[in-house]
Amino acid sequence: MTVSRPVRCPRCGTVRAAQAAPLDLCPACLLTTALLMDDEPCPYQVLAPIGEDSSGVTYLAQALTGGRGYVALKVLGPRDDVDAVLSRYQHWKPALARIQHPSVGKLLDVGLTAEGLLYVASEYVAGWPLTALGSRASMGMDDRVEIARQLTDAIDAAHAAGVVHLKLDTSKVKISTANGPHATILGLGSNLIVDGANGRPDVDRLALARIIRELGVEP
Amino acid sequence: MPDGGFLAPRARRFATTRWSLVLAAGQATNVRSAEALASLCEMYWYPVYAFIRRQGCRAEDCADLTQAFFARVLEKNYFHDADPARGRFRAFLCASIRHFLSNERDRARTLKRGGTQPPISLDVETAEGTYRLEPRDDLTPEKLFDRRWALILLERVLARLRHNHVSAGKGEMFDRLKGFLTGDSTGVLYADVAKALGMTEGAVKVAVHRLRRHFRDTLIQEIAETVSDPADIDAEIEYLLKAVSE
Repeated sequence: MTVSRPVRCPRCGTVRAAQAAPLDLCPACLLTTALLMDDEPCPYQVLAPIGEDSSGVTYLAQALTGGRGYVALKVLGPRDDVDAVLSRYQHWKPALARIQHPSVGKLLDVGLTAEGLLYVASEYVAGWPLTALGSRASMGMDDRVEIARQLTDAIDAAHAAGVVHLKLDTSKVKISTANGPHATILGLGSNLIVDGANGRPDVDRLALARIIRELGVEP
Repeated sequence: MPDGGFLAPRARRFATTRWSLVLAAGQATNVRSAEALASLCEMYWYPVYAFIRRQGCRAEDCADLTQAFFARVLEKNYFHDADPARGRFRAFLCASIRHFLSNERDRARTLKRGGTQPPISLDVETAEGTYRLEPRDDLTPEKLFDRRWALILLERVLARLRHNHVSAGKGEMFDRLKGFLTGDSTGVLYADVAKALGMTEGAVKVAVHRLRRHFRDTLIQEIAETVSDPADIDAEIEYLLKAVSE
């Protein structure tokens, strides 16, 4: 009688018969992989694309569970540093949660789509970007001063929590006037997590001073 | 642009899977439930053969006993008795063999005399050839049954995955990526695979993630065919993991 030679899996140590089955992969590792896969890696439903840049496409989306309402879901292109990004998200998550300011757009979640693409889900903020200020001359000086005050408070709150933006400019500020002037800073935490950037708060303060000057307000 | 499909929750279509269909029919078997049961038996007959052989049955008698067992299972009134193992086809089949072997060996002789048409297609030569390659270890018939069940299930899942990839013109990609289904540290570098396939390393990682998800979904579909409650699927995966790890 032929007796099969046992093979030990180098990963899990399981011993199996080498010839008794056509399966050439470790069955224990295969089943472990299946058990470790998340059921719902990306709990959002895409509604419509709302933006695109070199790193990915941003969609208006809706959370499938919970009460988060609308989110801005940025789906990034294929990357080699997925694990590092997810690790940085876990690192920055507590600090981001400490920022409770109405002028900071919350970063809600970083994860993987079913295809394995990274996504960054942020609170969706309605309004117009501050870059469009020139075409909206109707905004009075009092409103501009209020916007400057809100932005300054928001950046101070972020810095107090240990978070820096590093890419703050007028394209990262959303304005709404429906219930009085209101500014929201977008992308806070994103550069730290997705790009692994680091820098000093001075970078944000200089950027904030530029924005305030563009508002026509004396810093 | 994604159409939202990649974000949708995985739907577990369950109502029409084979084992739930069989159980739902009960004694009032119909053509669909009978076909469902027969196809399940066709898929998983080898663990039964290995179980009977491991009980000490000679090779020349094992095929007859196996056929006699399936003839009994496929009888219309087989589900007359309440059986707590019925929720999972694997557990039902394993419990049924024990019961069968202790009571109904004489049915095999009837079959051997040509009194009954064999109920399923059973490749005795392949079965015995495979059994002869089984390790001569201390596995009980029940444990050997479970282990072979798990391996057949995984082989079916991988065969389906490969078929789907080949149909899509991605056979080479599947062959190069399937080693990553067991984890990342297989001695094969993403960069090497990327070079061979003319892809970026990031794109290979995405493809691997997609393949793993496809594998899990296919595994769940196959297991769903053999259990009566979707809540049992993860427990069944854990059970089979234990069976192949012992």
